[in-house]
Amino acid sequence: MTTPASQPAQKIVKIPRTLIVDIALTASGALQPYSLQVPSDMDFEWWWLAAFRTSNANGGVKVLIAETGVGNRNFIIAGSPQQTLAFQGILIDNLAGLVSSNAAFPIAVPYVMPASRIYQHQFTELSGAPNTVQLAYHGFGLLAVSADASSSQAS
Amino acid sequence: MGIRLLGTAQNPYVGMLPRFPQKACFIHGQSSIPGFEGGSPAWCYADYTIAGSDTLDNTIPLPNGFTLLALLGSSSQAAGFKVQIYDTDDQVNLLFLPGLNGAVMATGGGALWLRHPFPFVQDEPQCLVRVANLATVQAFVQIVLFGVVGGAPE
Repeated sequence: MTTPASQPAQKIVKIPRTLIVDIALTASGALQPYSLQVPSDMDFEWWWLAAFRTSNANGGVKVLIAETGVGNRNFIIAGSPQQTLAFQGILIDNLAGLVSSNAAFPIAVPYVMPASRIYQHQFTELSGAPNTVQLAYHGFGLLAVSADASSSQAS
Repeated sequence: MGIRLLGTAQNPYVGMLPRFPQKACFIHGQSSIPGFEGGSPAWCYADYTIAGSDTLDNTIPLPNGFTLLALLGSSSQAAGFKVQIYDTDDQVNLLFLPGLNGAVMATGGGALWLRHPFPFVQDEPQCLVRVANLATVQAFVQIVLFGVVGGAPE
């Protein structure tokens, strides 16, 4: 494909980047919200998810994640209830583990999260005590640079 | 049925991600599974509160265009559970015999990655998941099907 003369050729440079969800949950609180906004400077390509929680008693924490802006696309989809269990999401230990425990979860098909888009999280605390939770989205910022700039950087 | 399995795209992680993917060779920056680029991740799950030594069925509805990549699950009791997963649209068992969770699936880092992606080709696909509690006391079990929506193989 040729590039129109009026438009400088662009290429994408991947910048290592991690987006963090950091929330202190109140004991036994249901569906506590947290909004993660992708920085506006560039799109983010999501490769790994890692998690931390201070307690996993009674399952620790349940998590729901939804992408706003595209009809609130849910990443976590609940099964039909044979029982009267609330749809509060995946246990955090099923979603991902600590990097230090060799248990970060690979997003097998890396997902591009557009710049400035908001990802809505909801946490349900199960342990009965305050719980500090972090989710780390590891991946790359996708920086668009002109081909000329990148070649002069390389030389 | 056989035709569909033969036509299933091969997971390039074959031989690389037998059980503990993060210990395998995972090269940052390489392209993703061919044909699935642009798909979005999805975790489809079901919760079970099961009495001791009891069995419970549950249905997990899957989004259209869902391709199964990995299985995860956990139990609140160390004795664990047996699980059987059945594709109700194609009427095929994804596990031919009930599997012990320790042999089939674990939590986040110990997900069972399929040797080949399994696409659900019907509209409004769903799975019937049967769980048998191996503990003699009540257990809380969660089963998770991880996959990708869209980005279907060409």
